Amino acid sequence: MEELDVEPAITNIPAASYGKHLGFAWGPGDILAYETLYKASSGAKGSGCSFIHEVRKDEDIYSPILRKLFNESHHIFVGLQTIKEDLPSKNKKPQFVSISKNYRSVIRACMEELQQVAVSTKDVKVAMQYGNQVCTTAPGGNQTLTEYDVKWRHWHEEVDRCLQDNSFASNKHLEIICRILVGDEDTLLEHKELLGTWYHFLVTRLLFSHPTVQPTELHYYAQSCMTMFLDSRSVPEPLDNILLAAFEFDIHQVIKECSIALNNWWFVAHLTDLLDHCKLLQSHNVHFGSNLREFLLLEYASGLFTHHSLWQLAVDYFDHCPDLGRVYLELQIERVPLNTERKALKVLRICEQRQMSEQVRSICKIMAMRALKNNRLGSALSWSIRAKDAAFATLISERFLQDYCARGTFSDLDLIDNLGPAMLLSDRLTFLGKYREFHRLYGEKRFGEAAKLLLSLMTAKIAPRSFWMTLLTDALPLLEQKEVIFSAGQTYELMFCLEELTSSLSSVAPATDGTMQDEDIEQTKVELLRLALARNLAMAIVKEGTVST
Amino acid sequence: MDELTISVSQRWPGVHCYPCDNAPSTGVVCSSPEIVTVGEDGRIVVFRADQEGVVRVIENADSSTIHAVTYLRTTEILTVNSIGQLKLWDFRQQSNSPSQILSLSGDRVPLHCVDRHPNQQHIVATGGQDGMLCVWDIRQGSAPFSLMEAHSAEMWEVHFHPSNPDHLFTCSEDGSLLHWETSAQSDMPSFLQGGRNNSMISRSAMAPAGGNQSLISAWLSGDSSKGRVETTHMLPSQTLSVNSLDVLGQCLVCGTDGEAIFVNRQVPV
Repeated sequence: MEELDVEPAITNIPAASYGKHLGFAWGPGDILAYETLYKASSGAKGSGCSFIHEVRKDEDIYSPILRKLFNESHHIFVGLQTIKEDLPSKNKKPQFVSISKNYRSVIRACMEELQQVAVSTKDVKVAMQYGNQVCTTAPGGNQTLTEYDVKWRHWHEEVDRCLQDNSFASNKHLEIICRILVGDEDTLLEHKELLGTWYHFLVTRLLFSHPTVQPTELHYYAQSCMTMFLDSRSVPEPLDNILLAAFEFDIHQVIKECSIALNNWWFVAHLTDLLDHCKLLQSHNVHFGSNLREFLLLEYASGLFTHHSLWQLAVDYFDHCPDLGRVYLELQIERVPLNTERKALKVLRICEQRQMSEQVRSICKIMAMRALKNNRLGSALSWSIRAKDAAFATLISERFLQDYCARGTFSDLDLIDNLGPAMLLSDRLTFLGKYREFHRLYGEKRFGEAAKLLLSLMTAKIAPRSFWMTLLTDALPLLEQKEVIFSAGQTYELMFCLEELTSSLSSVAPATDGTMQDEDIEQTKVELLRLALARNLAMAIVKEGTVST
Repeated sequence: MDELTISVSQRWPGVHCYPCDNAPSTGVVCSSPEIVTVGEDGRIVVFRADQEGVVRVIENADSSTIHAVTYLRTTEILTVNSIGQLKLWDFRQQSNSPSQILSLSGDRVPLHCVDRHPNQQHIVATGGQDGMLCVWDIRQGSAPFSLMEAHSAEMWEVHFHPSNPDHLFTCSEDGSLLHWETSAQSDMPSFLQGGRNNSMISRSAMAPAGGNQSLISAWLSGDSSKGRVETTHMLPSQTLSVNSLDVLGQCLVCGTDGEAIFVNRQVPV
């Protein structure tokens, strides 16, 4: 196992009792911890506590100011990914610089807002900005640098001469200013409190003593300034290490220091991504991921996924991680809580666009079950249609049919009457639609058509066998009309259906929980039907045999 | 800078609910002082801003989720649901059934938004899951008049411009906000054109030319391929879903999933 760079930070769980052993389990963005009954020493065995503690890091994502930073940087990130690969590098460079500037300006905007609420992370952001600037500004030459240098030396000598001549001896303040202008370190250090930090001191010192310093020389001055500025007792803070690494242009060290010091992955992820695009970073493979860039982006995005609104940004980040992004997305997207239909629709759209068909089915099923549980049959059907889930459509139809058998009327007629092509999704659904149509035709007194439809439901095997008795019973009023509705041929078919039904019923062992009364009712129904069919047959034969003159 | 403050004046909690739980409310519309809301529980609830209780509830108005509601007249509202139906409700009637149901033939695509033409109350625009913009004539039976491909994902909201209804705005999950404009082929304002200049209106009810001519809106004959309807993107590309919009005069506002609100104060209408 590798050595640790720093000691891991200890997080206290205030609600857990002191001295208890804690068990834990990892979650997608948090840890669940609980007190165990284990006693390490021979102390008194305390009672177990029934609480589960949820430990979550990344509190940042809930801050409104940082949320704005995440949203705006996401926009820039996506823009960066879509810069065309085949452009020659001289065309790409100005775009990269402009992207870097965009990042810097959103950082600056964030800093200003933070300053207004005086949060201590402001110092971090200042340091980050310097780090960003240093890492991404290519050292470049300025033609007139030597000219400037000559002029500056001239001016510097002037100022120095003034000091030597004691020109400002009469006015203490002017003398101090003069010393500052000449870059006198002792004078600068006397005014530490005005400078604030050692890097301000660095900038000031360089401005007045070496304004044309080359970027590659910066780290010498940085180190010495830091030593001069800080007390001998004080330990360099993590931010100082970051800046020193930045001045040495050791990009990997900057990233490493930032990863340790900062409490979320935002900065390192975006920086590494930008450097990777500029080809300034050899993104080596890490043995706990694919490569450094992807590892950092995945960590950052995973942190976003637990947020109720920022999870959508994470999707784009996963999209641009070619190795593991898709797997991460598949795992995370199923855990987005689907509190409203609209949220479910958004999640579905993301899955459909990426051909994640398993997740689509799963989400639609969850929503359909929930709708069914709340008795929202139309919603349930709508979700089954979206998933093309025939089995669920059958389930819904069964519910409708059960309702009908129990109450004698259909519920939700607005749905059944308007199924349209959705009716074809499942056989049971088709039957439901057609059965309702039969009732409508009957209500409109279009008996001939109703009769034909009813018969076809059985002969075309659209109706489930369990429903045939109900259908035959529905035929009774048609059979008992004064005028003949079912033709002889149709009557024969009905009789055939009845026989088929009774023979299959009698071949089944009689149910032991059926009462004698139920069996009697069934028997009576069958006999009534046989009688009605026979009578109808007789009338039909007579009618068809009669020649009308 | 003037500071306006908004404070809550009335609350009606738990109005939309399932047997065991609260249900999300999906749409609200207001015709002062009356307020109507609809929700995933398929219920329509009517309030008044100055009353504490609820004025009327239409239970089980829909077996699926009602996604949006809008006023047709002061006593009539229109709702759209997730099985692709447009329903007309008349509050003067006591029954809990719609007075009219319209739907697309073919697939029952869920509808998400609805808006009525400000001047011609029989013309209604809807948008749904497939991103198509449909314009309906409520008087003319049960199918929409024109269908235009608008977006590549769900259309969340559609709005006619309140004072210049030749302009229409739609926003979508695909991150775009479109500004639609019908152009008249003659010098007359498009909505006064009638049937004369336009062969596309053959699908609609043709009023006889001259005298008592019904006003036929250019929207009903809309077909972008014929160059009568122009669309413009109002937002820079690559935004996340645009969820909601509103327009008044020359000012347009919209909100996105990127937690941003865009304001455009110079909409060309």
